[in-house]
Amino acid sequence: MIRSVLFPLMVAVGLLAAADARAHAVLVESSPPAEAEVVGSKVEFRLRYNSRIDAKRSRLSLKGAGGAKTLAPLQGASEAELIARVEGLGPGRYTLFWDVLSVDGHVSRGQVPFITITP
Amino acid sequence: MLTTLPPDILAFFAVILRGLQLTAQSVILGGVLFLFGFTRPLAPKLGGRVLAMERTGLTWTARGGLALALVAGLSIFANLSQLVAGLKIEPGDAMGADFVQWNLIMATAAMALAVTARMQANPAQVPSMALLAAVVLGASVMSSHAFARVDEREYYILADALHQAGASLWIGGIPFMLLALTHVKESRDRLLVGMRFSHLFTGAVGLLLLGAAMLAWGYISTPGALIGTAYGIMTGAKIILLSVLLLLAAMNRKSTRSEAADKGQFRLRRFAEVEIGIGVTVLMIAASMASQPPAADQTQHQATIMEIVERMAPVRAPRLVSPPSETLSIGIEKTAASETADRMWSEFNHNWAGIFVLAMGLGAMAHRMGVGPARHWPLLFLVIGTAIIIRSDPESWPIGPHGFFETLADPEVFQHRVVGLLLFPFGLFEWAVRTGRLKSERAALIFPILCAVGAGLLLVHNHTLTDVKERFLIEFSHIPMGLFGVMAGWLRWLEIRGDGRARRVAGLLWPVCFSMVGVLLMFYRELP
Repeated sequence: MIRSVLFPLMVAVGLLAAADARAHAVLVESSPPAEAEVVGSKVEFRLRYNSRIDAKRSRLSLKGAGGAKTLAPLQGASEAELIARVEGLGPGRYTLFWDVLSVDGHVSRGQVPFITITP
Repeated sequence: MLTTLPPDILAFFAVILRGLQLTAQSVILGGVLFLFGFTRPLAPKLGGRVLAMERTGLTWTARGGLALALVAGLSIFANLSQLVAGLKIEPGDAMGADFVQWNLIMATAAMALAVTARMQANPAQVPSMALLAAVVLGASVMSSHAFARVDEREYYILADALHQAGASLWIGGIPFMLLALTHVKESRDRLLVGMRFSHLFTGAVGLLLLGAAMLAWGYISTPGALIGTAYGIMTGAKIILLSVLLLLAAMNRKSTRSEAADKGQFRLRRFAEVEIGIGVTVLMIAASMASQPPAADQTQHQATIMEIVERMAPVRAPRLVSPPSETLSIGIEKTAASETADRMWSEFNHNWAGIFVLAMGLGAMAHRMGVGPARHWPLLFLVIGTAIIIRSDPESWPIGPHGFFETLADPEVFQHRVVGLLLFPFGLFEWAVRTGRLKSERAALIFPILCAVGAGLLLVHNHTLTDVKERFLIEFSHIPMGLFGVMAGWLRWLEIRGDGRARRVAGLLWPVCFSMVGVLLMFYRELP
């Protein structure tokens, strides 16, 4: 009985245990913060998460009026921090998209919109 | 091929695989507990029967090892696919990710354990299996939240190791206790088996609770986070199911003390079957929680008790009239009006489903009381199944512009389709049982199994919404429904498989639990 009924049950529960992986790594703090105004054409990004991030296997991309560009993130002061920089941005609205891999294997996504203004 | 797979469906399979991994891991650890804690120390008392028990136990453990190696291999594949498809990382580079490396270690250890279990008996066999099981457990802990913590990582790793070890040894040990009971005939031996496992499980539960308390202290930390986050309420659901398991375990303990309390340990065996089912449900909830941020980290978007009470209170009648499908946000930019229509659409679906579920619960009660025509109540499942397929995803076939297969990659649509289709055989089987067309016990068990599985799905089901708090409030209502559904399924199981007072009580209670799911659905709300 156990083998014929309960084992298929275990498998069935597993197959139905459907849950989309959601934002696992939470962005705790960002610089610039969301919706901030940044003066000048150079922006230094600093993103701090609630868990350790695999910087080498995480991606940042910036989209704005001038198109999209991929940024290479580096590990910041701690393993939970990513840093990156970009130069030559014209004034306007931009969005930094982050796709990060936490070290327990979950991919999380999010974005930080901001505005650059001329000095 | 990897790059063509949509990231969402890959993430969705990753969660399923984690649940299966925890289940296979439990079988392995339960098998090692059986050998180390039962057959070896009790061999002098059990005599020649130990050989047959060990042979079957080793076969089960080997299968658990093979299953785990397969699941870990699939997890590696799913994770690599996610990194390659989602993050555009080169496959070779993706192989270096911590999660992939730990899963490789887990798969290798599980395969080695399976091979060791199938070897000729030798003095190193069982110690080697124990060592390999410890490696599996370690690799599992190192691919959990604990390993990703920034601060006090050692504390979380220790807590998670205790928690996983306790849960695996307990839930995985129960099938082996049933195995041992099938090999002994005399009353004295049955009591010996029951007593021994009772002691072993008490230790495992101790580890589980100690680990759980340590994790809750760090991951949840405040009462607000326990009530106001998805991670917190899933923990609450686990606590409730664990309480049921402990109640059953306490009753089983009585069965192990005296033959008079439970002749032939019949009740103990039936309760043990239910414990396995509920235990696996708890493991699946744990797998779902692994994909969510710990409650303590989700300081924003926590719902308050007042917001939950306001949403759950049945302040208005069920929505019996649907908004027209043209008013929904399908193929147009979302507006406040179209989003309201979307929610009204969903409320209509849930509320009507509730009316049918309540009708089935009442039908089951009436049938039990001798009302003959009420035996056809399972046919109402066909109505609900049809409604789910037609209405649950209005953007897809048959009423929306997208084809049947086109939207299957969306995890929510996939779940709805699977559940909708499952309800057909589900209803027809139970109807055939109720009307005497099917007479075997196995056929009768289809209903409780699928009821428990479906309800387990509710406990781990996530709505994909951008508003975190709104998504949480919807999920909050699913938790009590899931708990009532799981209990309805397992109580019905006990009614079919049990005897005496347990059977009578279970027979009275399961339609009540089933009806409660209906009542909760009838008053389900998405609009404030």
